Amino acid sequence: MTDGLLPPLNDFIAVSVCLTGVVSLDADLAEEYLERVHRHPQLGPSLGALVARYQEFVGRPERPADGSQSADRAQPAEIEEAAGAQLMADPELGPLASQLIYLWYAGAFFEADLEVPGRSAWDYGANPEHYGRGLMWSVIRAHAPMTPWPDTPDASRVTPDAANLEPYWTQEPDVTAPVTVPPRWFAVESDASSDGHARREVP
Amino acid sequence: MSSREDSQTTRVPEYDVIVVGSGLSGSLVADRLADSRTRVLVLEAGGTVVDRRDLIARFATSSSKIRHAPYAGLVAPQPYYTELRPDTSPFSARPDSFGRDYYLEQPHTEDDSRAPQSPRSHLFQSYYLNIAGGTTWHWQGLWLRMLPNDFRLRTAYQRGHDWPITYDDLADWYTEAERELGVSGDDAAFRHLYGSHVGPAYPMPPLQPSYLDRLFMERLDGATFVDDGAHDGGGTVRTPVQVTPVPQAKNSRPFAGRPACDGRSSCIPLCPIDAKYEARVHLERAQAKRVEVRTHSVVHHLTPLSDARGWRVRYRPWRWSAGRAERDSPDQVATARVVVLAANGIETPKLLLLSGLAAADGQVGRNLMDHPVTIAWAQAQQPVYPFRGPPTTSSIESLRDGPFRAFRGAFRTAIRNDGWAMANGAPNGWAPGPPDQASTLLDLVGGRKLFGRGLVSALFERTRRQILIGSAFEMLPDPTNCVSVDRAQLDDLGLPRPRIQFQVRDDPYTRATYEAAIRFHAQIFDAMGATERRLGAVGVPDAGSCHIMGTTMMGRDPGTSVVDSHCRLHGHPSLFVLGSSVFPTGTSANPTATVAALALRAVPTIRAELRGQRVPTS
Repeated sequence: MTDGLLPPLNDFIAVSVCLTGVVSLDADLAEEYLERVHRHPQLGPSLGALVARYQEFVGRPERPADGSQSADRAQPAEIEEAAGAQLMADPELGPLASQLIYLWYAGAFFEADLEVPGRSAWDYGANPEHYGRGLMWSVIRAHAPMTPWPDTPDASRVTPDAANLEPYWTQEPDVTAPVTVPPRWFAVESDASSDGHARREVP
Repeated sequence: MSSREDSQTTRVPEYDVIVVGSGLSGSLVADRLADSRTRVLVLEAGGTVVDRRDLIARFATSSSKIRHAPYAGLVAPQPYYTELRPDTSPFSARPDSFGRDYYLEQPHTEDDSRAPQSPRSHLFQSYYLNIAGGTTWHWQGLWLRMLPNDFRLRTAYQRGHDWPITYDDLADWYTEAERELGVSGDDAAFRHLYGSHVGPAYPMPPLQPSYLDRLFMERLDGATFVDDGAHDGGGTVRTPVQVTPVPQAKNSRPFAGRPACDGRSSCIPLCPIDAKYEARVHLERAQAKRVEVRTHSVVHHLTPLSDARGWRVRYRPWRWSAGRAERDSPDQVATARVVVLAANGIETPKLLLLSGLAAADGQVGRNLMDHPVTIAWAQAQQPVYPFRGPPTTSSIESLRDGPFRAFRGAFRTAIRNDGWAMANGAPNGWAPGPPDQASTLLDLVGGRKLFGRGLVSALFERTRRQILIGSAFEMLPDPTNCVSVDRAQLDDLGLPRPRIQFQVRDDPYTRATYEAAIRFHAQIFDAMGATERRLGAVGVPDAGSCHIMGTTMMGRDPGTSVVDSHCRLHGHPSLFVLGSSVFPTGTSANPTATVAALALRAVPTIRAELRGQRVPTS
């Protein structure tokens, strides 16, 4: 694969599954992240090589016959383990592998702070959605601060007396549910904000 | 003086009341004063929030996620101003700067001035928001009434000062404020807390304790804290400690047209759904009653009109231009019979000093206080599942009063629901930490090179037992801790910046306070079966509380205080000063409940002043 070309989405998802350890990655989000990595001036040029190196270990994933892009692409665990370890240890590609994990877990790259020499900082990018969709929050059975708890019923906002008698934070979370990408939140809330709560304005 | 000002000063004042600052005090007062007969103008230094969604988006895309992150492009010059300029992207957390882009630091001693960096005990780590609605945008919303003995510290414990008012003078105003703002609280837990909260029940039931809190409640059931009496030669004192839901100005059920909290876990820096009280609620109400509000208007000089007819208020309009605040037009002037100065504990004394309204004995700006915080964090014995729910839902209020206050400070201890976030930016992390304490994403990926399923289980295991507690303690008033102005160091609007001399003292009283809090944290960790403990250090405050108190102290004696018992500047009874700057002592209570009560209490006095019936000092 030539440096600088956008790798196929499926290939990007496959290496992402290997590095994150999460089999059900959201394909739409993967497309946005692929674009984000590709556009990144330092990381983008190595992306093709990372995908290629991964495929050297595991072989090219077979595409579904119908051409769809199923997001589930788990390899046998030992092969994934070996491939991931190689990528993380690779002096050239290891930093990109780490950044790919950061992106999926936090929605951000962790890189040199443009304003404070010698420091690194999180770069969440321009899309507010990404911050709330980090895998981290699903792994630790929480949610990104300022985003809704995924199962919050709308009724909790409007039912006068039954509201919040036993809100989610009083309960032990379900630790058996599979780890998933948290749902979209920013656009969803913008759409729902016609009730006036989220858009209250100070004139 | 321009001819325009000349003519204005010779006329009847344009307004009955000018309120400087639209934070909690200013907005409450403006709302209460607003009626068809009273002409009220609010002058706000900062800009205004147009759409909450913009704040949420700014937070989500900000690098640091610290408490001022959502407010870029909206604030007048203030601490962290450079990070709040809209072209600054991504914003950075700068944990060692503490607002030095605005505050000028004044060393206490020659030793300090030689040191390349002040010790942490000498940094003023608290700040505010110069924005319509003030710092209530990013306050945590905790609502603690002061205790009766907080008002009589000198009489009861021979420390600090007595206030010129008592708990009873404020009790009804606390109740009134609780109705006005909307407070959720556990009546039973607070009704008997050292005699506080003797009025009606809180308007709403408490925000429910978290799963994590309940484990603390179980493990600390029946616990006592022991003061061994070594400091005062007295006997051992055992104080029973109790974990209680903390009262909060957040809706536990829909209230006043705002929704109930649904647990976004981001009270600081912003409630995205408007369940937490913000002063903009009362600012909007005031505006609906035709109170005039001028934002982007930095007041920088007050002059008494001749014959005590009122005040001339000079302010500087500004706008954003090329990523910074820029003067928008020549200074403007407005006049009023009464001025309410409610610009917070830094800007209020600064304005009095710039206006030459500080008495010769120099009390204005002195006695700057905060609630320094010492934190402790550890891994609990059993999973607590943090990062869910409001940052604090329960606290320990048991050590806020007692005979120990003769030899050490009171403190209140918060149980945090957000894991080690305060300590290391968990769960993602601020920077890679030491390998033996690896717990964040940065530690485990950047440091240990974990990936895949190993990473999933390490993150889960290293996060789900995280506990963090923090005690915020009372510091005594100290006249050498002070705010002054430096007329040679100007902000972007050409106005002088505040110079701050501040120190959490290294004296027996303060050391005993730290020691007690740290010992208490260790005792709590014992009860929780906690491992990997990190306790704070004596003399090293981990954080400030953004509780800026004491710089225009209330008192009977004009020689030792700045305002009288009705919050009027000594010698200028038509100039009211509101906010926590009037507190004579810091106590251990978060200040906002008392700020609100004092503001509501001032309204009848202001009205009487407008009627020409001056209320005598008590």
